Amino acid sequence: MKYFSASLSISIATLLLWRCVVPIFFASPPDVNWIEQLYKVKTAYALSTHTPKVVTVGGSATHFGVNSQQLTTLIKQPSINFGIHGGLGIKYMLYRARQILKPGDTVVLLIEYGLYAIDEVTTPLTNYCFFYDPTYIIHCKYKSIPNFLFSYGVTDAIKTQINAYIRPYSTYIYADKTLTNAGDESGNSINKVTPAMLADVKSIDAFTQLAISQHAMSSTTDFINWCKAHHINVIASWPPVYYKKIYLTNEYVAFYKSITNFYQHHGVLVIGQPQNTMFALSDMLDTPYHLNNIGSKKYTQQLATALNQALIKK
Amino acid sequence: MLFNSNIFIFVFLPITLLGFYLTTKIFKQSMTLLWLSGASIFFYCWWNFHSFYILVASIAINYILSIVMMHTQEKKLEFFTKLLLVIGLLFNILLLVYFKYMNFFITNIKYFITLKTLNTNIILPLAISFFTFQKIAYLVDVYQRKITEKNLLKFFFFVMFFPPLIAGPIVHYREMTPQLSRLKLSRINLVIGFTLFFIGLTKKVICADSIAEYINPIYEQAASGQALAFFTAWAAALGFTFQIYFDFSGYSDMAIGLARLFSIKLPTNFNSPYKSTSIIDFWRRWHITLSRFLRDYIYIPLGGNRQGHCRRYINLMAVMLIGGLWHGASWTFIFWGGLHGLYLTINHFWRAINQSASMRYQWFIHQINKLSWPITFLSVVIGWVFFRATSFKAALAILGGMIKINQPYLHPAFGIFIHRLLFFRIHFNEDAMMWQPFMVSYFWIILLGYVSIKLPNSIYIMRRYKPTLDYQQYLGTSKPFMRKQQHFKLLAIRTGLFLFLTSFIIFKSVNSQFIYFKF
Repeated sequence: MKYFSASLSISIATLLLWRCVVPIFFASPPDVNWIEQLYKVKTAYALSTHTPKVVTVGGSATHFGVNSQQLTTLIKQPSINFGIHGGLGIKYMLYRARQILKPGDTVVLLIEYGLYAIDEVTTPLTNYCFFYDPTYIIHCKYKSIPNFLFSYGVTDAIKTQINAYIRPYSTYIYADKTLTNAGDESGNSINKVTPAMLADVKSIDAFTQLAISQHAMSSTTDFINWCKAHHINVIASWPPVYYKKIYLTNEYVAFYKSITNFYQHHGVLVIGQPQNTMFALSDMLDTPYHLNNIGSKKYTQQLATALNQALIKK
Repeated sequence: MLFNSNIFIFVFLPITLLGFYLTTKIFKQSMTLLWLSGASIFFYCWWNFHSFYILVASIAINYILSIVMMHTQEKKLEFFTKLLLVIGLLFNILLLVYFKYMNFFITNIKYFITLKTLNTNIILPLAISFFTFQKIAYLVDVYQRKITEKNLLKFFFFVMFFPPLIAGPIVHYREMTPQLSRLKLSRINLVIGFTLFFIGLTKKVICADSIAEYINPIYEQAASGQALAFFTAWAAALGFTFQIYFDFSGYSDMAIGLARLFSIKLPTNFNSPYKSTSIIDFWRRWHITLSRFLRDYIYIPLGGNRQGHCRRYINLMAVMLIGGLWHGASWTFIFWGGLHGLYLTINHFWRAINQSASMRYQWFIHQINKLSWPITFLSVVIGWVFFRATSFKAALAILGGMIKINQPYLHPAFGIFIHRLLFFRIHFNEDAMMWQPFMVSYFWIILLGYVSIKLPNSIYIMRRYKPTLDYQQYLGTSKPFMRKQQHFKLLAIRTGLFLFLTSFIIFKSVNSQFIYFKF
């Protein structure tokens, strides 16, 4: 028994040392670093906005698709673009959104279709929590705890350090330098779109499965209930996505209906139509969910129109 | 279930160990063997339930043949004994040929003859290559009277025992059975077993899988017909050289460690093959149990080196072609085997020259012998390109890239970095490897190269604890045991560190398969 308890103790001690030393002394992966920069800027801007505000919450479709300055002008209310890396998953996105919402605010959920299917544990989330939010582990399910504890290993660290210290250039899109003070993306200029990026837009499938997972339902329900308890208005709408004919077939229409039914069942108003948020290739950036600046203007205009009608009704 | 899966480590293994402990304490040896056989059946069926019937039928037929052979030997009916051996060998070989090579033959014949009726969807039973060779060795040993025991349970256990079942080491019946009377859950065996297991797990999930992530896309590129840049091609060749070593030797270490938990020692399977200074030496260090089988059951029966040089070279080529074919039903595997047959032939020829050369050539020969390690290593690397590539086109694309020494292209992203150095006139090409996979893959190649070529292997590290049946053969005289407190401390530290390294992979959702599983 001494051997086993000694091995286990050494293993645990090394793990604790690893978790303490690595986030402090070593560079985080580029995507994790980008997420943290987004949250810093967007959270600071949100907390500095005192009047009741409109907060758009979603993945990177929201980050690239919504222009909060334009939206503010059109709906005549302060608006915050709280779109983030979709890899964090619904539960964490909504968890962070709670931290900037106040009574009287309106939150607009623009969840990507693919996010309704993914589970709690994702690599971007576990890596992000390893570096920047280790206390989130107390909010996750018991079965996910080992995934969070053992998220970022030696091989990941080697890859990241090579990235950080020998990297000769950096990408212009997923970098904090292209963030505006309001947390909008300014690096999605149509002039920077390349054929390779458009090829990715066409080839990547925006949908993972045409069903809302149990995890997505429970996370969103908890969030809606929390908002109701804190007098925060919840509205749902549709994320921008690259248009494909198949996305208007019966199977997909049934999926959109199931999303609408889910929100309406919880008393959430659903605005807009999914087919109206499908965009042509000329409006896209580098994935089926990311709009370039032209597409973003159009999407924000549509969202503003739908929101104005919804807010008038209220 | 894979050895590195959560279900194996946290469910299957603890339950099997618990059952093993209870049966050794309370019941007789036969119950223990039954328990372990049952666990092994479960392990095999978890992988592939349908192949189990084939395995059981094969075990039954081989056992019956061996019993009848022993009977005819007692009656001194030499002709019938030989006939039974031939029937047994044919049965095993035809079984292997049918399940493993029929698709290959039909696919090739279809180029010449239209065959509408023949099925090309024969499913390969798991581990058929390994258990076929085990049974062939068993039947030959029975014929040679090296085995006289008749015990169905022991034979069943010998074939089914789960640690070496899927991918070796290839164990002999006479190596395993003497240990079966001493089965006991002991602290020292648990300690040694777990240490070896975690060393093997680290080699597999940290070393092999890390490099695989970067070289697999290159082989796919080569298979699709894309020309490869110089550094990219070398990354593919060297990367796979180290990947296959750490993957397969890691698996062997895990199998040896797991067997040791049940107080069974297995033979050594790897002994730092990339330290070899000749191809002959390489095959004494790489997949040792396979080399042993090929030597004892094919090469020597064919005549070995007893019938002159010419016949020896033919025998070597035949054995290596069979060895290549055994690895897979593909022309690239056969070519790889043939290439090693050629290497061995050249090596033996060179040795003959060394011995018979006159004094005036000795200096020249001595200079070439100084290059024995790089020549051996390079030959092995070239062979691995054919082994890994899915077609000759892909292999030639990689080899073509490796010789483009006048075109050392780097990706344009390196431009900023290299220009600062102002040392080289480097060409830049969009088709060359992107900087991040380039840097990470070469980091792993250098690290894994250093570990496999310069550092001691796992059997050497564990030599004080008698890790395998035949470790002394490869390491010289063993050192005596350390004092208990010292060796437990050291093993505990090692295991703790390896457990830490591998725990990140154990708890990730995607498990990686061992390369040799397709055999």
